[in-house]
Amino acid sequence: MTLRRAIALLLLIGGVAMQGCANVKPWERETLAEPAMQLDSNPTVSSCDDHIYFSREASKGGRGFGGGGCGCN
Amino acid sequence: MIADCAELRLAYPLIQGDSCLIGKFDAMGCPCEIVMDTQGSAQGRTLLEIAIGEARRIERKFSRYRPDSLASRINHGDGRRLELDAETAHLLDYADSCFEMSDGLFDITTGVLRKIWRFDGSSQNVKAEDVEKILPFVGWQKIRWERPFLEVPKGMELDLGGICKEYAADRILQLLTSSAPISMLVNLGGDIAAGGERLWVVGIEDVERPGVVSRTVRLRQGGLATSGGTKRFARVDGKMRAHILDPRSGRPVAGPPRSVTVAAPTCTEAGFLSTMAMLHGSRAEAFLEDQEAEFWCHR
Amino acid sequence: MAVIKRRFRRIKERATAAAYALLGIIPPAAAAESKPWNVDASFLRYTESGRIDVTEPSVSVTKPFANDRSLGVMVTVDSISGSTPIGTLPQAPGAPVTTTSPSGHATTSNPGVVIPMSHYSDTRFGTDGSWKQPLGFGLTGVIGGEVSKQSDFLSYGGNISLAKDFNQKNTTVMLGLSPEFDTNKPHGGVPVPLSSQLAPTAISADKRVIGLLAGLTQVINPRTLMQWNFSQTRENGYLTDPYKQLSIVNSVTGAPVGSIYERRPASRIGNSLYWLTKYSVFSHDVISGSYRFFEDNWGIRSHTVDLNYHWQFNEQGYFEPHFRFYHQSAADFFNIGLVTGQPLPLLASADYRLAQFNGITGGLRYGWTFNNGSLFAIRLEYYTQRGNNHPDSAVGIQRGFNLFPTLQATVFQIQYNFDPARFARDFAAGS
Repeated sequence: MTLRRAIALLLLIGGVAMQGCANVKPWERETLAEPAMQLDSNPTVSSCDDHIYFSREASKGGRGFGGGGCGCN
Repeated sequence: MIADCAELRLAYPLIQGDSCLIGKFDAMGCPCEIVMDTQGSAQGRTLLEIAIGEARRIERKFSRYRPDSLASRINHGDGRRLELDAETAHLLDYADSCFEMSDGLFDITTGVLRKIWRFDGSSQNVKAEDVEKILPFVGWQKIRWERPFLEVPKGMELDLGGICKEYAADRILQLLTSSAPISMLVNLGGDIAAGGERLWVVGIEDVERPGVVSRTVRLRQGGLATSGGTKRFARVDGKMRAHILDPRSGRPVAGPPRSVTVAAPTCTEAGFLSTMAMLHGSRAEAFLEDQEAEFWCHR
Repeated sequence: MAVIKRRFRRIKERATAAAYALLGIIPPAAAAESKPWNVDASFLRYTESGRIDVTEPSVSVTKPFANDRSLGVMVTVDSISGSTPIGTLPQAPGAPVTTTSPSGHATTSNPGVVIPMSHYSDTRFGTDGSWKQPLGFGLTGVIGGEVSKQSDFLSYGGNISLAKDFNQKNTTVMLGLSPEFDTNKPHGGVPVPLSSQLAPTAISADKRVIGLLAGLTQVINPRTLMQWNFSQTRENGYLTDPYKQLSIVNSVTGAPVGSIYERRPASRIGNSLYWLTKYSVFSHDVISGSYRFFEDNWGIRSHTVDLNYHWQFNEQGYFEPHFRFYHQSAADFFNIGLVTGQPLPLLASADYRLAQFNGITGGLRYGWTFNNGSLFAIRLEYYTQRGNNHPDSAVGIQRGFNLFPTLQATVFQIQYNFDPARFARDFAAGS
């Protein structure tokens, strides 16, 4: 898979998902407001994980910026 | 509405909940409770007594159904000029603001229309001419209110009931908080005021099944009020109509939700917004949405 | 910008003021005072069997201010110690080896059984801060900076991002930029690449990184949320690892005859695509699934799938099982070792992190919310990395050795999240 194909695939998924999109009203947001439904429901855990995988794998970025800020061995 | 840790043992005035105490009483024609973030039963009892005392005071003063109340004196004053105390003056100023903010939709003079609209679930045939006969006695703009003097023209009535219960919930919470710095929740028949840091989980009663919680709402500081419900409605042209009357037409509002619950910084404001939503009938949600209010609608 | 057409006049602010006036409440202008602070304290221990141990306490504080503005500050200290592969190949059984690494530490390798390791020990101090505030027109801006320092490495970074809500907050578009400047100061100096020269050419070498991020978040329905991110990382400068070496082995016997320092390109561009879906099931459970595709101009391509289930078993407690799968292909210049009699390549690295491998993580997290609103959580994860134990390019005796020993690591983390103002009040009240 190349980057171009990955972009095409995700655009396709996005398009399909958007088709089923309902305009969610403020009073329907109770579930979306729950802590576990937040995009980054636990920033401390995700930053620790990003740090571990950054120092043990060759990939960067995704969830956020791809910087590292450490010279990990 | 039921607070999260309530064990509904109605016979006991002070109940031990899950790390809280619940005091129960009846006032203003509905079951009331205060939920306190404390384990001290002596403190709980003191607070409960304060709450009951304040609820009774407000009830005695503003109930239309008590012949000795200030509300009765206002409504049967036959156009005489009355000098009012500061608390009542504040309430009338507030009613005036509500009338003005709502472009005349929120009106505390619509009570007289109840002479023809009986919201007891019975089918009735209200004639247009009956409504026309009453309408001249409806309209806050016809009341002379120049603080502290009030003149209610003969035949007109003020109904502070739509404001008082929410006001009482906020008032009781203020009184309780000034005597104990703990988290508390005051629930007067579904009009809720909460203070302190504790997060309370409040159940919204299912419109179809009274006593059954249909969804829960988290509340830390602020108020929650519900308008609507199954208990009071009339049958108009074969259709169920809620007890909300439009002061302009003198008729029940068309297409209101079964119930609307609104959250706001105070219970008083929540009550105003939920009543306003009902007054907008089928456009209740649109109204609250445009206010960017936090609310839960049931149709 | 699409202007939302209001059907009703806005009266909420006046209603709030009228209710406050009735109740004799002074409007809480300093409403921020009542908004809770948040402190997130965490203790993490990362342990690789037979290799590195990391102990990492960290504290992160978020202080909200009026009008949805907030300040976040994080401080962390990592204590790292243990052994890490040098990149060189095992010796024949019985041949004792002792060399010296550029960090000045003694290097030993158990003959023939284990790949050569160097001992490593350091402490990293890191801190970051960020300021978030609404900018009007549905825009929110975040600006932040970070510093990380260890004995041989110093990094300064910044970030700025803008997010805009559309469509009644159902759609959010985000754009961000993050520059970073790193300085490597290897113990003993910067070695000469592709040489065995211990004499340093310089004492430090720099690296510049620019991160770009573009994201789209869409509420699909009242239970489903999706996010798409594209990020690009552009690195320039000294990207080589100053401690990693490659063996030169006899082309017939496979016996190591020497070693040289690695060399990586001076620039790297990596692109990643990320897709996250969050779906709420039952009343309060949440399924999260994400996929990431990564590709860079070093020839590395990777796929990451991450699945998480938030099981809220009662009002206060939850379990979160977690599974992650990762696969990467090797960098074009990855080389397990060089062979005598062949010309030196322009670029070469034997760092196992640039090899092809699969990483699998399984873990469980347990969290509990107390009545006072504070939250305690504990998690345990197990991470393995499996690569090609017997690559085709191995010669002679190297064919008999396991050249990619499986990496096994555990992550243990305890976390406590609380509002310090409330804590102090409760403490003063003696409860």
